[in-house]
This record gives sequence, C-alpha cells and structure tokens, in this order.
Amino acid sequence: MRRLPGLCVALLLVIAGCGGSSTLTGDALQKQDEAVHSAAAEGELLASDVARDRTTEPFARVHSGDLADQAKAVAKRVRDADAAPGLERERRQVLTRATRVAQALEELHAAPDDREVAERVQAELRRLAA
Amino acid sequence: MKRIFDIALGILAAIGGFVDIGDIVFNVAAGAMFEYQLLWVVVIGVGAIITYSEMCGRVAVVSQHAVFDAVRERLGFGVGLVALVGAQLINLLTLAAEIGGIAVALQLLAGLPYRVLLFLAFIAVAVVVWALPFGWIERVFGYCGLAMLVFAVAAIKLHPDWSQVASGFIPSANTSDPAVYGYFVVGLIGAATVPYEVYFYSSGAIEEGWKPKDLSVNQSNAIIGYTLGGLLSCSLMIMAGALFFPREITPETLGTAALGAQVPLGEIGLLLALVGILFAVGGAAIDTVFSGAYNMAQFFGWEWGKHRKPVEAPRYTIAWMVMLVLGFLIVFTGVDPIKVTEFSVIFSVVALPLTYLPILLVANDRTYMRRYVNGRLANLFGIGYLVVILLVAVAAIPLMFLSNMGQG
Amino acid sequence: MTEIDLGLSLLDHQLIDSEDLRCGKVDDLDLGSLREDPPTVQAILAGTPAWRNRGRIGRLAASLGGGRIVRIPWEDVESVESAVHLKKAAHELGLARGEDRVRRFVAWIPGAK
Repeated sequence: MRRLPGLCVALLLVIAGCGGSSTLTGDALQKQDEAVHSAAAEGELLASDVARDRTTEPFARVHSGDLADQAKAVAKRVRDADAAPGLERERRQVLTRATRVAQALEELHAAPDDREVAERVQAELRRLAA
Repeated sequence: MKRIFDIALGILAAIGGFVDIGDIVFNVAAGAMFEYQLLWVVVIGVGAIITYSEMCGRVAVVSQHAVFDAVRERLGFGVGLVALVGAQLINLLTLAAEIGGIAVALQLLAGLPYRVLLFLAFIAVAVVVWALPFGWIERVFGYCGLAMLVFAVAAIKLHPDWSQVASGFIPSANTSDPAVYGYFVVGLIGAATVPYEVYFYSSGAIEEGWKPKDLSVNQSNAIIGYTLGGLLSCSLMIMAGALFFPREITPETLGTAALGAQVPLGEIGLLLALVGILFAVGGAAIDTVFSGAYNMAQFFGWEWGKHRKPVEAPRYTIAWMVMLVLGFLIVFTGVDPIKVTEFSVIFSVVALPLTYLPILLVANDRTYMRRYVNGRLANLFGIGYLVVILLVAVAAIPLMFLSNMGQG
Repeated sequence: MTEIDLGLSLLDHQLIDSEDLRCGKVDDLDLGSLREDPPTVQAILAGTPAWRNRGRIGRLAASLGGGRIVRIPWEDVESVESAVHLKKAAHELGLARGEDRVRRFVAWIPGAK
C-alpha cells in the first residue's frame, strides 16, 4: 500500500513521456504538421533576412541548422510511426512536407551567406508553409 | 547629483539583471501561443517579486539574516532541511539551463561548437565568481544586460495592434486549450519569481553592507528596476505575439527569440539581442551559483560571502565550486537547455511557498525587525501573493502533465 | 539565567564568536534538569550528531554526517539577539572545525588569500 503513490507517479511519468506513441492519431498528426509549418515559417523569415543581408553568417548557419533539425525530427517521428486507420495519406503528406522543409533549410545551412540561395529557399519555404 | 547618478545606476543594473533564461523562454513562447493574452500574468509575477524582494531586503539589512537563516529558524531543522535539499536541486537545474543558455548565445554569435562553448561558459563563470568583487559582477552584468532593451524597440517596430496589447493586461482566456493556458500562467509567474532571486537579493544586501539608512534608496532601486524589467518581459511577449503568433511559429530555441529582434531591426538588432541574452543569462548563472552556496552556508551556519576572502569562508567556497561543476556536467550530457529551463521553472513554482512563507514570518517578527516590521501594505501584498503562490504551486505539476509541458 | 522562549529564540540560530565570525548554528540545547519550571539552558550544543534530537529527518541527517558535538556552556554566551553572540573565539570553543579541514584545499588556489 505504501508503494502505491510511488507507482502512480511512475505511471504518470511514463504516460507523460509517451507523448509520441507509435500510432499517430489525427490529433498527433495535426501537431506534427503544425511543427513542420512552424519550422518552415521561421525558416522563411530567416531566409528573407539572409537574402537582404540583414543577418550574420554564424547566426544564419547555426539557426538554419537548428530549424532543419526540427523538421528532420518531425520527419523521423512521422516516418517511424504507423498512422491510425484512414490517415495513411495524411501521414505521407506530412512526411513529404517535413522532408522538403528540412531539405530547403539544409540548403540555407550549407550556404548561409549566399543571397541567391537564400532567395530560392525563402520562396520554397513560403510555398511549404502555406 | 552623485546620489541621483548612483540611484540611476542601481536601477539600470536591476533592469539588466531582471531577465533570465526562464523569462525569455516562457515570455516568448507565451506570446507565440497566446498573442497578448497573458500580459496580465507578467504584471502579477513582477508584483510578487517586488513584494518579496522588498521584504527580504529589509529583513536582511535589519536582522542581518538572509533567507535561509530564516528558513531554518522558522520552519525548524527537519522541514528546513527538506526545503534546502529541494532548493538546491532546483538551483542545480536552473544553473544547468543558464550555462546551456550562455553556450547557445555564444554559438549564435560565434558559430563555434556547442560543447566547446559549454566548457568555455563554465570556465568563464568560475573565473568571474572567483576573481571579481561582488559589486563589480552585479554592475557589469546588469549594464550589459541592458542590451535586452532591443526587444522593447523590436516590439514597437513590429507595429502590434496596441489596443489588443492593452486588453492583454486584463485577464481573459480566449483559448481552446485551457490546460496549456494554465501551464503558461504557472510558468510565467514561476519564471518571474524564481527562488534564487530572493536568496541572492537578501544575501546581496548583506554582501554590499547595506545599512538601515540605505534601505529606502536600495529598495526604490529594486522596485523601479524590477518594474522596468517587467516591461522587458512584456516586450518579449509582445514581440512574439506580433511576429510569431500570426505565422503560427512555435519557438524551440533561443535563436528564435533573437530572430524576433533581427526581423524588424536587422543585424544590429540581432547582435544586441544576442549580447543582451548572453549577459542576462550569464548574470543569472552567476547569481544561481552564489545562491546555491549561500543556501548551504546559511542553513549550516558557515561563514559565507564574497565580502570574505576564500580562505575565510572555505566551505562556502567549495560549495559554489561543486555547484558549478555539477551544473556544467548536467548540461554537458547534451540535454536541451530549453527543456531543462521549463522543468526548473515548474519545479521552482512547487517550492515557492517554502521559500516565501519564512520571509513573510520573519518580516512580521518585531524582535528581529524592530520598527522596520511589516506594515499593513506589505502584509496585504505579502499575504495576497502567498495565496497566489500556493495556488500556483498546487496547480503546477498537474498542469504540466495535462498540457503535455505546454505542447497541448 | 534568563527565561527565553526556547522554541523561537534560540534553536537554529546563528552562532557568532567574539571575533564576529559565523561558526555554526544552535543545533540543540542542554536543558539540564527538566524538573525545574521553567527549565534553564545549561549549554548550547552544536555539531552534526546534535541533530539526533531534531526529529526523524534530524536523525537521518545525523547518521549521514560525522563530526563531534561541541558543548558551549551558557556562561560563554555573551548575548542573544537575532544571532547568539559568544564570549570566546570559535577555535577556543572547538567550533568551525569543518572549515579548517576544507581550508587546506581552498588555500591552494591562487588568489584565495
């Protein structure tokens, strides 16, 4: 009986930690999609500033890398999970979008002071964020 | 004339030192998620820290007792020891987050590898704490932290809907996710009232040798400084509300906060933001290191303080060194400093009542405080905020789970 | 011997020696004969083992730590304000020995003195 509170806490922690279970519900998929959108929208802002030479090279490099990692993390989560019944098409859409966002951000990460690359990436991310 | 100058400098140092990584993380996230709706919470948090800083500053100067002296005396040995262990664990988490924050800011400025910068941050904090006098540390980091004011300029330049901003100061909850809203209420209050601030402020009063006659000047500095510092927190939220909320951007790193200054202000905005973050978070890391050592020394009765040479306060010295090493090791494992920040803020909220109650008790004790005992106004605010703190402390952990750490 | 509200006025207070150095806390009290009413304080006890009388957590903490109990006779107390001021220096009374043990390490670092 004395162990019960401890067990409950442990259980709660496990449940809380298992935010990303291996089956994606509609809600979970929506959340992943929002995360992709967030990385794309933020990446667009960054790319815009690089294109207009309004930032520093270290910042553009490091931050674009961080955003790319965010998109890649979503792609991994969505790829490794199964979709709930009927959501397979949505899952693939989110996966495609996440991968494209990650690629665009990686381009920026590899050329953080190239204004032409930045303009292209900005346009691409604007499309993907819409 | 000199007096006005001194007061102004004191206020400036208080403003620059007000914001730490918890404030940055929570205010920017709150703005991005809820636009301006949580501005009223910042006001509550600032009011709480002003009330209790004033009280423990007064207690420290009049009774020459800092917070943890009061904790052991008022709560007794057993409860006091539990409070100490809890406070130290939270301090450690906070320190780890702040060291991580310094490294992130340096990385965004210089582009060097993160782990290298973590080690650099660790060394820099150690050298500063060891070598510089207390007053110098506070002033240097306070003044350089003023670069954070760039966020106020950025917020204005982003042209927010000011009538919307104004209505954010009136409590309202227009949200589909009340658990997340509640989580941010708790987080914002927690970030504004982190315990290490009062531990540090009260010990600092004794370090700087404040006398009762200095009381009103130093307290005004704190009150004005913290109020203006609170405006800085609001600026972070307004900036995020104007820039990130409409684009549905969820901030995940400190870089996002800096981007918020870059978009309206360009490269100069970015650099000021990063420098501001570096010194605000760096100053906070130092304050946290000190707090950890103060708490140990004050609980066990050891000699303590920068006003003593290290050989005169050896256990206190070892205490801060051990604290710093442990904090560094925690963040060196590669754990995300933003995640650590969130945990440290939420856990400190739970510990808040054990911190603030002894202060309120001692501040009302006439044998300690003589004629400086709490007046009706101080008690009105003190008790009122204690109730708020108790509510928030009880709600913190459940909300953390219900809202999935603010992710919904 | 003065009557003091023992609960609030003495226990867990800071000890300060004749040279204004902080040297520990009042960890426990020796109340002498409890048949007297009110009991009078014979001595202050300081040191990790003195925590044994301070509740369950005190016993736990005392078992984890080492050290000796230092007994400070009441005659060596100068005054009781927010802290307890002593008439003698810490070393004379056997207090703050933990500092000496640690001082050797700290003294190695340049700038410690």
